[in-house]
Amino acid sequence: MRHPLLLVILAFVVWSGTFLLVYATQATGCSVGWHNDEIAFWRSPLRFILIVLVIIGLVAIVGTLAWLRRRNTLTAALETSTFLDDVKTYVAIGAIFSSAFCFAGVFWLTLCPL
Amino acid sequence: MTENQSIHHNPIALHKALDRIWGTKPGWGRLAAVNHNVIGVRFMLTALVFFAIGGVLAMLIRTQLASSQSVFMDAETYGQVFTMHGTIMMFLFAIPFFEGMAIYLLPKLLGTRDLAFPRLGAYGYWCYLFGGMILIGALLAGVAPNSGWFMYTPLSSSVYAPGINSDVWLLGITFVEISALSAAVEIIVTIMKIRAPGMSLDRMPIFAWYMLVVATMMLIGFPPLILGSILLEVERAFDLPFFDPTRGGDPLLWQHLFWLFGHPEVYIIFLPAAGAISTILPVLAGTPLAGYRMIVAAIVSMAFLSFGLWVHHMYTVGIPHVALSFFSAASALVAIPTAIQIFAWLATLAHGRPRFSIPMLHIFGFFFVFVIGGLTGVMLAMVPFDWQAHDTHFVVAHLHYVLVGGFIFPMLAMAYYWVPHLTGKQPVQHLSHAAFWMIFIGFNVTFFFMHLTGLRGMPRRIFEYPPEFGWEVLNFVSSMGSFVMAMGFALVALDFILLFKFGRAFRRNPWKAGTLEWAMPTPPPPYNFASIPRIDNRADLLDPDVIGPHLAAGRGYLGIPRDDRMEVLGVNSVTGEPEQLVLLPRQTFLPFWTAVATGSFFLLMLFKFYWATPVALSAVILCFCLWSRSGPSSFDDDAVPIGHGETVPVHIRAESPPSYLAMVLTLVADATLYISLLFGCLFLWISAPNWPPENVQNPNLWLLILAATTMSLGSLGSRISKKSAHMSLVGNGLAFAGYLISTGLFISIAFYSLAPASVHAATASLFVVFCYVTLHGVVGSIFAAHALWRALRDHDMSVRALDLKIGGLWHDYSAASGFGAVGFCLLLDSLVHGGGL
Repeated sequence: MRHPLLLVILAFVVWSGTFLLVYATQATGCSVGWHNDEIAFWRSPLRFILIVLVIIGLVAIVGTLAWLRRRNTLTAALETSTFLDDVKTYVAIGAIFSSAFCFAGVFWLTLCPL
Repeated sequence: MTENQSIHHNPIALHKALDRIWGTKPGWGRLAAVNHNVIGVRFMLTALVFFAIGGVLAMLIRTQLASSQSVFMDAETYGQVFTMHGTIMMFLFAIPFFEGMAIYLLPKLLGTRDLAFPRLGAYGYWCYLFGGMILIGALLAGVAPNSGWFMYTPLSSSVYAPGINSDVWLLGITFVEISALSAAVEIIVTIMKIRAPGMSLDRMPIFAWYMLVVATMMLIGFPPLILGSILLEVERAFDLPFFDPTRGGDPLLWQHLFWLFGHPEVYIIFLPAAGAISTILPVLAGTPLAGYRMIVAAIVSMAFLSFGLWVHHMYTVGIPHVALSFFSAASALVAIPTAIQIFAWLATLAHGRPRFSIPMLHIFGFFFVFVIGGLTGVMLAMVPFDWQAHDTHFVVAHLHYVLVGGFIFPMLAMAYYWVPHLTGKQPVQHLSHAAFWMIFIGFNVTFFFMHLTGLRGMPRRIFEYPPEFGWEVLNFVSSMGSFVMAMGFALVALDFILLFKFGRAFRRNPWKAGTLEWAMPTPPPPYNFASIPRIDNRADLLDPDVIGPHLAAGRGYLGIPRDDRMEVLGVNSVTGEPEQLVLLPRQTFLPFWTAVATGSFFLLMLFKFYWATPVALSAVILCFCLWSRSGPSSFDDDAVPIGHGETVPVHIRAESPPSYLAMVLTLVADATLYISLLFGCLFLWISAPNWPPENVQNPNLWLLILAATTMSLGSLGSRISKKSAHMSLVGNGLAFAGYLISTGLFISIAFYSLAPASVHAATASLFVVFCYVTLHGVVGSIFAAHALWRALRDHDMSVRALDLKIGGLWHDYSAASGFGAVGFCLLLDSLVHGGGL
């Protein structure tokens, strides 16, 4: 059985993974020059990749919340289950808000050192 | 009448019997103490001694800066003084103090008798004490670290810091951090497994939630710092150029590794204090804590967010806008979970009838100072403002508002609240009010004006400044304020001396709290509870006045001591139902001698006697092997009665014993270090100049795959060994042989197949990765040899199963790290020789 505390942190684990992936991709893209070309709408491949990663991350966190809400925590007492369900929902909502707020810059900010 | 019958009818006899089992022996026996009361108090007292030393250094700094004409200290002395002030306050005071507080309080709040691993706590304390003594010894000898508490390279590299000053920091702090990691493992396992029966997750005291989050943060946060310290030390000692840009290194790698630890560290310091406020404030307000569930969600979110903003200390190093936005946004976001806690506390106050006692006065100080620190933190999170204020005294003011507000005021509130518990005496409080106001006013005079000094452009870390810059009056005011504050702290010390001498005795629970630490005699006996309670409500809404006498009479669980064993109950981590009887080790000198051996390793490294370090390392391993000695008679019971008609197995036969979880957590920390190492090396490829390296010879790929494959024999052997007693010999023999071959192969690859590691950061990276895997092979071979020895001695298979399970975790991780090294080598080779992506 998955430990209920792992479910409490799951949404923010996805947020952390997205954070590392987006930051690492941005740094790598700048290093190898993915920002120098334009592919469509005057956008570089690097920006497209980052936007796609951010959207995937956001969808994954929203999906995590939906999954967590469908799945009740299996514990002996109803009180404990309700507590854990409440906490993991609050944490997942926090993770969704954090993702939208943290990664919005990929849509318009300068991607690499000038 | 037998002894047990006598105990059953007589609480005094029960107390005497438990005291004899759990108590610390006098004289030299004190060095063998493992009891959490003793270790917790030692941690806190030692931390306060370091706090006093750090405070004196702060006074020296303020004396120097009071005037532009000061000739009090020269640049070198000033460098050592301000570096040691920051280092002591962060590493030797703040973290160890709350570790001590948690070690002392947690078992009591959780309704149990001790922590899960008493010897580990004792070992952590000795490492902390010896590591701190190395640092203070260096200060007295005039060779203290002088590159700032964050030891930025290249200032701390051998070119610019050729003496042993930086080595003292790197080795001393790494030594001290052993105590932080051991405390993290111990705290998590205790909260998860060693609670009073019935204490499900939703009934845990709020302080336990805070400490669970903090300990997890320590487990993830400290490995990057330890890795950074190791890499910088091997650069200084063996010329491996991780931070030298002329050979493919990058000073920014240090900054990333340091702040990956450094920023969460602020929350690691703040959250225990916040946990104490969440415990104390509802008691003083006379009403339950508002928003318990929301607070738990907020601290979990805060923990994650705090790891996502380490670069906000590096805004000025030339990072593109989009990356700055990630960290700026995360820095601003972290204010939200903080605000949730603050509003929950305000709501609690609003719902109750607050008592304006001394602890409440310090909580008021916390609110005022910490909120200002938080607001300036949001200002600094904004990139344009940070660019203006970076490295000025504005930042110094901000960090002191956060840390003094977030830790010192709550610490004083805690002290006034819980010292009656420690001493059995209530404060006389003649000096308490005056001391508070002197600290509060002195602090604000010192640091509020420092905001202005910073906004007028005064940089940090300068030991003199020109009179015409207009900073002198502000600096003088700050210095005066700091002396008022110092006098306030002296008054607090005097106040506590008076308390110890003339404090009034009290019966039980002087604050009318609802937590379990007051359901015991004060000062607490070494076993805390004569019997262990069953919890039927949230653990901060109980009635200690009723529970205490009930437990003292032995009417709870484990109310009758047996066979001189130190017994506690292990519970299901979610429901809190009893699952196992955990037998704790008795008092022993082993933690002390293990710490001495560990300290000798660090001292040999410090004084560059590298040839002798294997001897010290062997002594450490030998000492740890001695920890595992246990007589089979201790574990001969299948199911043991624990009271109330219930029986449980002894932990060694249980499904999920505490030591298994401890190994999982240890491997989490270990994996964090390894991932940080691999990412750090890839960061050099992306960021550092002078890449790709020229004429770098790569290791033989097939030899490398062979080494990793033979290392995975450890994992295979451990699986075979679990099948039967006969197969145990075969499996562990296979594992042992696999480790011997693989470590030999990895050593030969690292030393003979690679180009010299000092040539370029790329080869240095591969060298360190191979050394890491080799070290895991050596430890794995010890696990396998130990299992082989026990199989040969024909111990009961069911008893041995726990050893095999724990060893199996290590073997699996070692196999993964071996293949990880192969993957990393291939990736680096393709990036370097394949021209990148």
